[in-house]
Amino acid sequence: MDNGELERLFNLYHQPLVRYLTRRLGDRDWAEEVAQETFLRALRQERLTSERSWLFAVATNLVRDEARKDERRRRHLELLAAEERDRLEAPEPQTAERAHERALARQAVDGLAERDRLALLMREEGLNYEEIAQALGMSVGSIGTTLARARRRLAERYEALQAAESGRIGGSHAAS
Amino acid sequence: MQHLDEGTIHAWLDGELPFDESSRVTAHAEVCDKCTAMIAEARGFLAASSRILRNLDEVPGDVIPPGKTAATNADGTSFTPRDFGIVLPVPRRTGPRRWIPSRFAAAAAVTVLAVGTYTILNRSDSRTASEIAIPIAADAAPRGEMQLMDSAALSARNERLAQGAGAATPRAGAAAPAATLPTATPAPQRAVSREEPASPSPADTRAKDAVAPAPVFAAKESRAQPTQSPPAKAAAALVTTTDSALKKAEARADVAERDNARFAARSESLAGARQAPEAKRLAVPAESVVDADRRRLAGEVQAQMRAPAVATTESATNTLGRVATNPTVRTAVGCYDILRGEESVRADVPSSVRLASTQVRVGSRRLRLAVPQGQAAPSDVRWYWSLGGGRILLHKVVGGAVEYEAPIVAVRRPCRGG
Repeated sequence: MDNGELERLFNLYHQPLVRYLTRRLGDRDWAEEVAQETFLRALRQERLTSERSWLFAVATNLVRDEARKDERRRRHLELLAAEERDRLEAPEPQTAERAHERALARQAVDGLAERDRLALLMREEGLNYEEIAQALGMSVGSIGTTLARARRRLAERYEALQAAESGRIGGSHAAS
Repeated sequence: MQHLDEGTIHAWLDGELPFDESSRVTAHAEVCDKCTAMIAEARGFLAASSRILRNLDEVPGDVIPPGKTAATNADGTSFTPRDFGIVLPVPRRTGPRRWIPSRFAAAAAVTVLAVGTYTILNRSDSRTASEIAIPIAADAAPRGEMQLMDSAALSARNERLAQGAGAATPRAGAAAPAATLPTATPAPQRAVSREEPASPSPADTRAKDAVAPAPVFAAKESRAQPTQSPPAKAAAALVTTTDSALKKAEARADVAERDNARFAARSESLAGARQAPEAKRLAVPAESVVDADRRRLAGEVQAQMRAPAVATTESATNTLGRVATNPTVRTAVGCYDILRGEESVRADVPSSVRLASTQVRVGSRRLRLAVPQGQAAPSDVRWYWSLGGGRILLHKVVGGAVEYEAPIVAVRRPCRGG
């Protein structure tokens, strides 16, 4: 693949890919790194037939591989990054409400089965059923069911978490 | 036809069914209440899941947190991103509206305040607090290294200034926006301005007409000194701001210019007051601003006076060397376009980079991740950044070893993506 082709790919898919990875990993820096590695791998390919699904599949696999291979190092870096964020960014960029919503969303997404989660995140980035099926090694016919299940569970889980949270807050108020 | 299953409904809502099947689903949905209810429910789940996932997205990277435009060190000194040769953009609205208003308002307020302060100070022969504080890069970096505005805004700004200031425009060459920046040499600019008659450009005239009925803060300030010329305004505009804020400030200054004759007598008396040390420190005649503005301005100027980092290159370097601490790093994190033409910037340095806060140990050093934007680097090359000597240093690491490290001059820009 030449540089012009890579640039085209980058312009088209970098943003959705990073967003997908950020949502998947919860860490923007890590997501950027994985996205970068994904495009590097694309550069080494002669030609990509189904480029979007290829990129998302490679990025997904990179996350898996790296997580397997280097879990300890990653955890350490994550800790450092989290520490850094805690120290530097804790109060200001988010309102308490948004931070709370984000934490609930993270919890709800993490509670999904891996395949459901990936399918949902890919769909949110505009991949069609065929691309999702290709990227995840599933049949096209099963994607609708997978997404239906993922969406339902996500919404229900989020709602349950919200309800639990309100119950907890209500309880603590009542206790005090 | 059997009732629709959930997967089919979602595929239908996603527009992923073949035409014939989609038609069948549509027809069935029109006659089946149960399936209609299921479709409504599925729509709800679809919308809810999208909304929940959007909650995971990060805050737009180009938002300047309030209070972070000028951070304070442990020793009480303050510093700003310009101390590192970089420029804070005015935040642009890229995310949900709720993020923007307070930050934008804060940035705009500081900008207008700074422009007004500098405009006044620029008319004084002596070098005062704001004069050294606002064009920080002029002192903190060698001349020619300072880049203070968004390049597009600069280009437009330079054109306007060229109309107004004629030969007084510091550098020629509109082709390269960064190269057209006026170097921060307030004193020579003032010298030229005295020789040039104040002849407002068409743009100035338009702006003047637009705001003539409302002479406000900047106008009040400028009454203190009757001789303001376009080059003086050019120096004032070195402060980064939005184009509209600039236009407003400029127009206000023009309004004040028009009123100069009327206030000449008052200016003379105020000029006497300016000779007093305290008046010079605050640089704004007490009578020339309303109480609220005066309080804010006094706070601003005092904060600048407390900061040795902005006084001289040497002290800036020393101070910043000591304070490569969290607020500094926090202030520097963001996306930048690296300016070419600097000798220290090699050809392989990425033209655009995102400085992340993630810290990584490289050999014996702790560096932070720099992610090239818009272009791919070879797989064995990694970029990192650090602070040193009051500048941002970019490090190229090949195979785990630092191959190259050099200071960069960069213009901050909004980060793309979530």
